[in-house]
Amino acid sequence: MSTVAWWMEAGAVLCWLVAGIAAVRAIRRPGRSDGCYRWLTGLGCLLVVTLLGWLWLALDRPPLRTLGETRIWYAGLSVVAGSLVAWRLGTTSLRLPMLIMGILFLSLNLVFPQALDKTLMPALRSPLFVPHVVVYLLSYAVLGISGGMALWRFIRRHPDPDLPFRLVHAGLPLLTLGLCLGAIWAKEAWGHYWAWDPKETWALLTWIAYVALIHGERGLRERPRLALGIIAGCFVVVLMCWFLVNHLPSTAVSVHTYTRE
Amino acid sequence: MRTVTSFFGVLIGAWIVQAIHPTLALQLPGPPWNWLLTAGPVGLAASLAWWRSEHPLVRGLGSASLAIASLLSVAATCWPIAVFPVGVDAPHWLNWFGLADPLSSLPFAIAMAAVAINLAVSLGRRLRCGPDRLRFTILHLGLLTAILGGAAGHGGLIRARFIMEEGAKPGDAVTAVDGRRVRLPVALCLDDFVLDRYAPMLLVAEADGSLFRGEVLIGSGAHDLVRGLQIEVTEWLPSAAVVADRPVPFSEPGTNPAARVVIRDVGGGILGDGWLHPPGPYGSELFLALPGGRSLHLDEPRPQRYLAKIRADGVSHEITINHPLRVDGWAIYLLSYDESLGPASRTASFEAIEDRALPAVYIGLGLLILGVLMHLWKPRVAGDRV
Repeated sequence: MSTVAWWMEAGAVLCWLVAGIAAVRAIRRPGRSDGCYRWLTGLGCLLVVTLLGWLWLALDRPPLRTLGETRIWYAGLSVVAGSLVAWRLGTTSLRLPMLIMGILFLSLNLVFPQALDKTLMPALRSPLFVPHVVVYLLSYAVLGISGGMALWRFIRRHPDPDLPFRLVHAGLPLLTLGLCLGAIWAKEAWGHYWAWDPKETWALLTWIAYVALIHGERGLRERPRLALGIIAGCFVVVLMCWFLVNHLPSTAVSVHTYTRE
Repeated sequence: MRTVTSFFGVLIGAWIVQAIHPTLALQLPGPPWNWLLTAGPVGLAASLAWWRSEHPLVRGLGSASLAIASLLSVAATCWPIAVFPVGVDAPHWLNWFGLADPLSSLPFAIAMAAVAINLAVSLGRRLRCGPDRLRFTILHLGLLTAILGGAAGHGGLIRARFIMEEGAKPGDAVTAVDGRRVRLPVALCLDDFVLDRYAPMLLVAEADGSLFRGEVLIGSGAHDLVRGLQIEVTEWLPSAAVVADRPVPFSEPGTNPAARVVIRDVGGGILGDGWLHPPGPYGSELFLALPGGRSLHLDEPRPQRYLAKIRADGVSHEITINHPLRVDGWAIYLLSYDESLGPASRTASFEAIEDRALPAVYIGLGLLILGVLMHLWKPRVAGDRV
């Protein structure tokens, strides 16, 4: 099963790599048709969606249990959500950041392939499992594009934080929604909507970072380089919450240890 | 800005006091004082903001700067929980910073109080100004309600963990985590504990100690490919005990399955043949040693679902991990069972919780979700104030 998944992931990475090259060519030669970019991006997304659908059926459970499975969702959501936001805002600036995020996270699965099995621990058998994790991954995807774009603009000394800020305004509500759904689920499963588990505390720290960011937006827009640096830094907190927390001493007392599989 | 400076002055003072007295711990009292101590100052702050919305103090207390400062202070006081196993094995130097028990510390209480006051003042001013930017008002109100419900609820929360054994007499007296004896609204007894398990999976142990799990749930005629080993099940005992290093059919709750396997390399050459059995109460482990220091094992079956059939005042109920039993304001959760016995476990552990402030928390979460959906429906435009 994991062999088939590996090849489908490799196919999606290849499609997005070529789409990325096409996007760069389109930037260098404005006015040229971007049909190649669109088709290959769409094909890569189709491969990821097919892979997720097939895994859901074959595993007889939502493919959201392991870190590797969440990386597939993240890669797909980065490109799909990025394309939708780009279409809504009428910009082409999101093409490279979203493709880079998709390629990066899917490539991690190619380098570190994970075993796929049907088991699902009893705590995850809840109607809130899928919405909670998918909403979180969607917010991570949007905030990831925002962070990646902010970092790129920070390095390139292109100090315009408008688009990264707009993405934060799309990602933060989703982060809040994920936090609320998680609290409701935790109450049903463990009896405590907030238990200060290390993962929960990182989720709170992530939320605080972005809430503080948008409360300081007015002032930060006058200091764009600082704004870009902070937006990029906030995404590091997201990464801590998502998987780097598994490498901290606090993980020994976490009930969210299933993500280490 | 003066408000933020004053806040940081108070916070640093609190931090110094906590560092000098590391054992100093704050705890909210039980009802009704918990509500008076939390909702009282917040209500006063909101009323003050509504009455004198343009007063410099009100503007300072409801400012975005104080929101940022108070939120970052909450982060600065609770981060040790995110990094260290606080309460189990945290580094000693946290004591020097007054963070040995962050959630009961004075700086954390002051930071949370500042967040609540800031939200209350901001809400008071918003209500005065009319329903402009309604979604932000709803978001702030939801957050404040959830924080108040959580803080007040913590003061009045009753939690009691207890273990029930199959066939024991019904009882309603339990000991809460703070040592009090409390009575549940119903007398409970455990009729039956049921644990369903998945079929086991194969596990390859490499010479360096690293483990690699197979993907297939093992059963009669199953095949799997793990780390280049082609494994085929030739005989299958769904329920077995081990006698004199041989598995024999044996049907009792808690028995593990056994599988006879043939292992081939990628070229089809046979590397091994023999029985596998996970360790359990009815027999030790059977595994196969392979060339190169590797070995093949049958992993212990993983739990798929567990439930407790209980009787509450004579009425039968089933409790599973995501479906607690609710009786008269109490919720009874199934926590665990005797994992050493697995399906043979005749005991299950539970937690009974009474949280009278829970509706406030749910109203707060509901308002937050509503505000979020409104925000997603009508995104914020540049220059719009939060």
